This record gives sequence, structure tokens and C-alpha cells, in this order.
Amino acid sequence: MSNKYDKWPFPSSVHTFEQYLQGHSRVVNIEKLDDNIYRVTRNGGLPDLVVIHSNIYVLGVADVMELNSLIDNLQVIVLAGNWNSYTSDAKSFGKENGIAIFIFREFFGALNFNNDEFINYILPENRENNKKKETK
Amino acid sequence: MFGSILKNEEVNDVDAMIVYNECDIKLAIKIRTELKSEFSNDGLKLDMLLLTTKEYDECKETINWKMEELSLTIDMT
Repeated sequence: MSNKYDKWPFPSSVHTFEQYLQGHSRVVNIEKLDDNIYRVTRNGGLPDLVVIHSNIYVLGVADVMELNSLIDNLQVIVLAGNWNSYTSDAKSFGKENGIAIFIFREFFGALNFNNDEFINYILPENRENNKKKETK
Repeated sequence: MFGSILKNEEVNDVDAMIVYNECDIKLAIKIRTELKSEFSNDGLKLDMLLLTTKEYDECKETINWKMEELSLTIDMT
């Protein structure tokens, strides 16, 4: 890729990501638009997604801005690996700009949904934790 | 704005972080790009986080770099 952003996943992570996508029950096709940028076609009437697979340790608002400048109509940023995370402000900034931000596991759950359910997807265990916090 | 440079001795890369005020976001991105280019000229790869002060406060407990931290002051003039 010719741009200066260079926080891309290791080849093994790319391989794993593509394998998981190909094996997901909602995914019918993945098209590689560029290195680490994909168009994901889903079944069940769910719309296609333009996805960037990044490997930044802590994704902040600045990274969302930079990644969003790499491709038109970016809809999803997925972070590789279990060690990466994003900030609350990055998540909010993404939502305001129509970009869903997920860690690896979140993305594969969110793929089953659309619109608000997609962009606001939370892992089941975190939903439980949030409920517990709300009831305290 | 302040930053930290963390040298990763094992892989000859440099991990770094700039914490910036929200209003400085474009400047922070520009600085990261320029620093990466300079490090690249020296044969090093610079991994630099860019976080606002609020973002840094939120996640500082989880940033777990096993490296000695050196202070860095960026002259903005």
C-alpha cells in the first residue's frame, strides 16, 4: 500500500482474519480492495461492508481519521489480535462518521446484524457486565 | 502536548506515544508522519500511539510496554 499508515497486521493475522471471514455463516464473498482492505458480501439481505483490518495497539480518534482517509465509504475498522484495543472516544467518533470499530471477536459477532445493532454490537459477556453495572 | 519514546531493544523498533490536546489533532498526525519518516531514514520502525489526554487517561492502565520510558518534550514553536 502506498499510504504512510503502517500499522498493518502480521501475515499470520491476515491469514487468520481471511479464514474466519470465509468460514462465517453470514459471509458469501470477500473481495480484497487493497492490502488489509476488504469488501465483505453477506447473505440474508445484509449490506456489503468495506472493512479495514488494522494492528494498532490502542486505536484513538487520530487513527480513525487517518484510516478513514485511506478509502471512500469505510464502514468498519477491525483490530487484529487480542492485545489491541480502542478508546471510547474513537468508538464514538467512528459512530458519528458511520464507521463501526471492533476488536476481532466483536466483528465476527456483529457480522450477523445491520444498522444500529451492527455498529453498537457488544460481546455477550460485556452485555452481562453492563447489566450488572446498571443494576448496582 | 507531551510524548514518550520507548525503545524496544529486542526488535530494534521504537515504540512511542504522543498525548495531545483534542484541538491539536491535525498537528499530532503531522508530527507522527514526519517522525516515522525520520526514523525510517535511520533504518528504524516507529510505532507511535496518538491519544488525546482523555484517551490516555482512559487506557493508561492497560498500556503494558515492558520498556524503560524516557521523557520527550516536543518543541511546538
